[in-house]
Amino acid sequence: MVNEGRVRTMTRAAIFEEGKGKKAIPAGGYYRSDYMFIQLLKGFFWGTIAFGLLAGLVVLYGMDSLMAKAATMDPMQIVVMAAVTYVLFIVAYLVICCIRGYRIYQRNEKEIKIYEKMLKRLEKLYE
Amino acid sequence: MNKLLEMKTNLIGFVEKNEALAKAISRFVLMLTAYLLVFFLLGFYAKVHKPVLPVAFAVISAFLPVGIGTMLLSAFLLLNLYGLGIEVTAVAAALLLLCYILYFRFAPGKGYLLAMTPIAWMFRIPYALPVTEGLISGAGSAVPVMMGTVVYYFLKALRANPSLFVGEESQNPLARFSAVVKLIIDNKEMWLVVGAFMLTALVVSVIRKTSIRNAWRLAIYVGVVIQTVTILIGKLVLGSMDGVIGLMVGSVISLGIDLVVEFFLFHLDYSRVERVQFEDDYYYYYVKAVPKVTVRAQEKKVTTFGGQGND
Repeated sequence: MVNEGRVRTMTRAAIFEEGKGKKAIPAGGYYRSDYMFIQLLKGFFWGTIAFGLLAGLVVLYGMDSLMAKAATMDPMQIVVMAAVTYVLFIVAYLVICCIRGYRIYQRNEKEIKIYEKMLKRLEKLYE
Repeated sequence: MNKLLEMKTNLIGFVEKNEALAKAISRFVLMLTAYLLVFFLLGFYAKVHKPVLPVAFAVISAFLPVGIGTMLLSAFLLLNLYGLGIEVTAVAAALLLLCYILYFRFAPGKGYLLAMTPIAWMFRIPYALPVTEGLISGAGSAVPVMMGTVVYYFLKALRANPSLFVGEESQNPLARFSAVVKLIIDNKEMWLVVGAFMLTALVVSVIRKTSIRNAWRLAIYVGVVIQTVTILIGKLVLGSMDGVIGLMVGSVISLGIDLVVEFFLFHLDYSRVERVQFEDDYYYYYVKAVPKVTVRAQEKKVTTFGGQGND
């Protein structure tokens, strides 16, 4: 005979697995520190690309005045200025990545706990 | 009013019942409109200027997640811009990639706004978006609308000045790159609109969260007024009053759209407010509960005339 409770719990678990769980379950396999490290690594990669693109656009925009200025400036000064701007940008971007990663990890943790409770309930129903 | 509420309930019921189909159709309509606009207004590359392509891409996009659909649309746009030269394509690709890295990587579900905002601009109703996003998702969601606005102004400038990039073999590539970037950065009106959108979304999301009566309605009115006045003052300062009538008409239409959104998502009956007070070990609670206005959809009655029961 069909056990209604079992079917209900299984359906809920399946909905989670097919929906939010698709990302949450694999992410839940990481320790928080490891998950955050991966997020920072990805953030560093994408942030560097974004900085490169923005810098490229700015350089292209002010090419004429920059060329004139660069001729009078010390090359070392240009490198230091670029490096400081890059560090400021990447730190701001990584902070955003960190906050977002932390929130997602917390949310995943909660959802996985509910999912695990469902599985335990299901196990009991089969005993 | 009851008839309207009944229609709303029926419509919500219908969409809930046919969720997958409704989503696919809305994605198809959105993407088809976007592809057709690219095809007709930005079809600079003859090799991909075939009517079957936008329709085929729109059909494919209807079955893809919004994020991937938007990427496909971006690829089609870049392909069309290639007709203006590699420099234009490269700058457009950089712009779209920046949009992805700075926002859509964090909120892929909002990707549709990057397509929807230029479409709303084409139909002269972009002013509804910052208010709607401020109401539904908060001020942060105005960012994709702002990005969409930058993309729209960039494409508009390209369409207005194709001669800058075509047929000038003498110009060196770096100067062409520089000219493309200047189309974006030197566009003061674009920055004005982007700033006004951000301000509007911020104000709307702050008012919406308050517990005052008719918070959404007030947020909509204040948002539309602030947006219109900011852009008007900005235009005065910039000394360009082009498109003021369009702004006014667009704002009125946007107000109507925002009120429809409110009707569907936040329709409360303030005449039946309930106030309750209770306490636990740590807090006193002063709760104000405002009931939603709902009506049950009319059930179909089947009356049989004649037959066995009517002897």
